[in-house]
Amino acid sequence: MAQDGIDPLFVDPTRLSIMSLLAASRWAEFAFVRDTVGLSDSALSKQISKLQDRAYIEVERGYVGKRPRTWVRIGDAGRLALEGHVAALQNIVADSRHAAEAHGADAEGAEAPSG
Amino acid sequence: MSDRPARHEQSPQDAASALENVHRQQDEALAGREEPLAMKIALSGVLVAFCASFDFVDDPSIVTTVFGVAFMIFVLVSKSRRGSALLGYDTTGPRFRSMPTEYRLILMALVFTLLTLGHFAVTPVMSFLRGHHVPYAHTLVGVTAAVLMFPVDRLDRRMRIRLLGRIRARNEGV
Repeated sequence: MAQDGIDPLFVDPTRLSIMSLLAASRWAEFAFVRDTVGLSDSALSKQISKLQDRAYIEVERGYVGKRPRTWVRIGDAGRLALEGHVAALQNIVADSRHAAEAHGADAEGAEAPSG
Repeated sequence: MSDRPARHEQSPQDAASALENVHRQQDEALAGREEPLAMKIALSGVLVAFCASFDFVDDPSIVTTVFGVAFMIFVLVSKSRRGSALLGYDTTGPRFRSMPTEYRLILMALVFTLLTLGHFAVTPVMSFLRGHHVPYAHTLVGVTAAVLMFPVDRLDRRMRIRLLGRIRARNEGV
């Protein structure tokens, strides 16, 4: 089934963007994720909490000089879930493409003159 | 029964759009971080200092060792969370294992080619400058390289994003 592997949490494009960005980075600063994905501080905090509840991402807080910083990175569970989700999306697109090709071939066969 | 997808089911159009979103974000991150302006200025200053030191220091091996050690410390610091933040970076860099193998190989080949070309380009320039008794020839080469670093850095990142897109499109047969 093409829909197998779809993670309901990643159906939301914002969460999918956050996870995709983190999957290709080591540690990313909160501000970088916020600016890249185009969210407000509070909206990103909410999304991060949801992803953290499922252990999909890890969050570290600290100080650089006197300024507080928050870093995030993808966890192993998050990486696995994202890989499954992306594979499922690829299957859906591939199935749709094959169906369209088969439909096109059937239509050509039906239009071809017999005898 | 309706043909409409269930709440968490994805239509082919939704799936294609989601995949595009995933690839765009990943390519942005994998292409590497953009150098902060302060870091570009600092790095170009170090490059000029490195080249200029050959005009002023008698033993070039000391210069090479000092700058080599400093460069290794810089790389290590920039890979840590606090160190990269101190240097003005917003990530600790792209995740090497997430890069397509083809991309890694092309990058390595590019670095090798650039170093080779750089060597073959700089050697005759230095001979020419020395032949004409141009003072501070190394410093002059260093300043030129430092100035070139600014536009090349931005161009380099754009090229990486384009290269990642092409590799992905070819691998997926799009």
